[in-house]
Amino acid sequence: MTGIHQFVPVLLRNDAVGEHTLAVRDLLRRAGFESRIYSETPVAATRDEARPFREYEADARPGDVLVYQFATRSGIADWLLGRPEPLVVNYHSVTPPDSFASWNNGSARLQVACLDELARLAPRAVLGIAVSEFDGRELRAAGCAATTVIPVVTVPGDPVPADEGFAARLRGPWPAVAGAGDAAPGALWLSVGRLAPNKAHQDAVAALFLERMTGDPDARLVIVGSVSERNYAGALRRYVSWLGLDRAVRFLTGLTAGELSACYQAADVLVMLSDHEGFGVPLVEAMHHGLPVVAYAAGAVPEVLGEAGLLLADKSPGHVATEVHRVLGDPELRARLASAVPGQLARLDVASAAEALVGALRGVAGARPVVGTP
Amino acid sequence: MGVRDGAGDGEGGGTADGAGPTDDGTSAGPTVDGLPGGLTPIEEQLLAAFRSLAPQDNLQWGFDDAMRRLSEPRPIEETVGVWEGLPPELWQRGRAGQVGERIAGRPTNAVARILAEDARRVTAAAVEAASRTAWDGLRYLAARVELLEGRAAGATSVVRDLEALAPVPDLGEVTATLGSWFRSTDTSRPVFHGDCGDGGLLAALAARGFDTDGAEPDAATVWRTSEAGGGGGSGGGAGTDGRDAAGPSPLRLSTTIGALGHLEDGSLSGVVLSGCIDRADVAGSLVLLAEAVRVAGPGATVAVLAMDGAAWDAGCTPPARDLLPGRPLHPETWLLLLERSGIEALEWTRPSDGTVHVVAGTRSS
Repeated sequence: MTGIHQFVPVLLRNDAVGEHTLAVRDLLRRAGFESRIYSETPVAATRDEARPFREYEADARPGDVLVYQFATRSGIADWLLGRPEPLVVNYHSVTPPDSFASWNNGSARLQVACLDELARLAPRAVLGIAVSEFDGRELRAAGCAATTVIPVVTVPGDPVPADEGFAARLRGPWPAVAGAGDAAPGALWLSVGRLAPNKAHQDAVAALFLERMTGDPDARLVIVGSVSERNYAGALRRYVSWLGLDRAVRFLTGLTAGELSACYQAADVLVMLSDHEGFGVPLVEAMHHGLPVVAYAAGAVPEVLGEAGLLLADKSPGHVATEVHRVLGDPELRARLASAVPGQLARLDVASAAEALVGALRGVAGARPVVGTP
Repeated sequence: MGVRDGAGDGEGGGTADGAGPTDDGTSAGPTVDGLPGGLTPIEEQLLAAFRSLAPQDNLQWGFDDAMRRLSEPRPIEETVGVWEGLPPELWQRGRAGQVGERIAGRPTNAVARILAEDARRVTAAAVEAASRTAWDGLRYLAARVELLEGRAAGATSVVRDLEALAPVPDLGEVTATLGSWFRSTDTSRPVFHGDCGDGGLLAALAARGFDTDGAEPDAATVWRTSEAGGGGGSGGGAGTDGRDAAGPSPLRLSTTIGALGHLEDGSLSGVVLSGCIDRADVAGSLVLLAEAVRVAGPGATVAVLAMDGAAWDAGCTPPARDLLPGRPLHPETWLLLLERSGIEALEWTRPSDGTVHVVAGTRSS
């Protein structure tokens, strides 16, 4: 039996790369391949799912294919460069170091090292798998000759049922702070993404401030995402307080799938103003829920959103506020955007991503490794 | 600034023109162009306000570079210079035949070489260890600072929320009596007002011929003042915390301490503090005063507009009274502090309406 084994720096649950890796393993096993996961950093929650990567040396069999889930720097990369098996790089995008520079130099340095590793690994890969054309271009630029684009396999093909109680609480008045009275339920904006600098949630906050000053004084914003960069997350909360928006902005994290669905159901608009997106899963989730999207046209956002949302070439706060206001107040525009959703989802074809991924890996089995200078 | 005026003219959803910044021939839809003319002053202020919260702000890679250099000890040859005081023929003297011909000459030379190598290794190791110790110390220090910053951020987020509930001093009377306590006549340098509210006092100063510069931490107040074309300043054009704004903006969206920190020593002909000095704890008030004195030039007016304690208590909600880090210092205390800071000709103007005391004097030459 041919083995297609995956290597990942750390295998985490409730993490995009971790869940993707586990899903790919299951897909490969169902397709008749032998498939194991090897990691560098052991984690208690996935102790039974992954083995230390150096143990592969004893497990190696002729004809094996190695798949590296490339998301961050790790010692696995150099080790893989010395392996004779054909290598597939499944690329999950590297956030530009500049995004982190003023927040955490350690993180910025990590991203620099990450790009360096990509430049060494990509030329050795028999196949590069990118989740978007945007990422595909980065892979090719790094030297990967054969690159294919397959969306993340864990994006659901259909919306997960919403937690109705949670949605109702979001839509209703929010409890006030310090007994200052409940916050009135105005339009509900949603911004989804890790609390990391490249997600630029602060631009949504600044736009909300102006919207409350000029348009809807009761507009509110829900920010859904786990803390990825602590300095940034702290500053974001201070910014919200500074602008006097404590009663108008909520931070949510650790949501169940039903609660996340409730956010999409309760919201009036998804505002995505990231400076860098390798794919943008929230765009697909919003489309599934029929939620209008106003997004900054950065990274893979234009190709993922297509004409199913309002793409902004400029995300200055006043412009964002104006366009969100326009979308919310113009039923005809919303209908036009909604009419483009089915076609865009069909183009993305996330439902058949799993099949495409297995097909691509099946094609690699038996391939000869690319020999190059590490 | 009228963000509704001249809204993006693209239709979006399939009818707007213009391609996105990542036009790649994929199925990307058309994009909505932004407003012509770049960011408005209030937008600049909002974005700069967030940038000012970054821990390393504009230092970018500078600190990191320094740490990396420290963490990579250079070889001993680079760090220990050669002493040039030896006589040039010493080496030849050491190689004199009679030394090498002695019975013990060769073993002595061999032992000497081994000892020299050992000494070199030991010295190099010592230097490297010292460097590593310094590096570890700095890393420990950085971790501690990060931890404390994290804790402070958590703690201050609670207080920051409550600061909005603190009473705001009504500066109407002190503005009306400006001529009695603001004595600077040097209009060649600007006057700064920290926590300037809607800029009414600055407008009065501008009417007297001063260039003005105001910092106000409340974004909504800055917005309203900006919309009303107020602020009274001559348009210093400084962005938040003194950094690059695109156009004239009478008020900065900034804390007073942040704005003062970006002003040059002795660059002002007047510094007026209000609001922040009522809310700050004693240490904070002292820092604010020290900064005010630093930026005040010789002969400049330094004035503290302090709320009366009773008026403060009356205007404060119970949670704010309990949880805010400070409350107004007595005017007598400000007299003492200003005097100790080198401010002369001090005068205390009591308010007729019992709300705001003015304690003002002149920076010594």
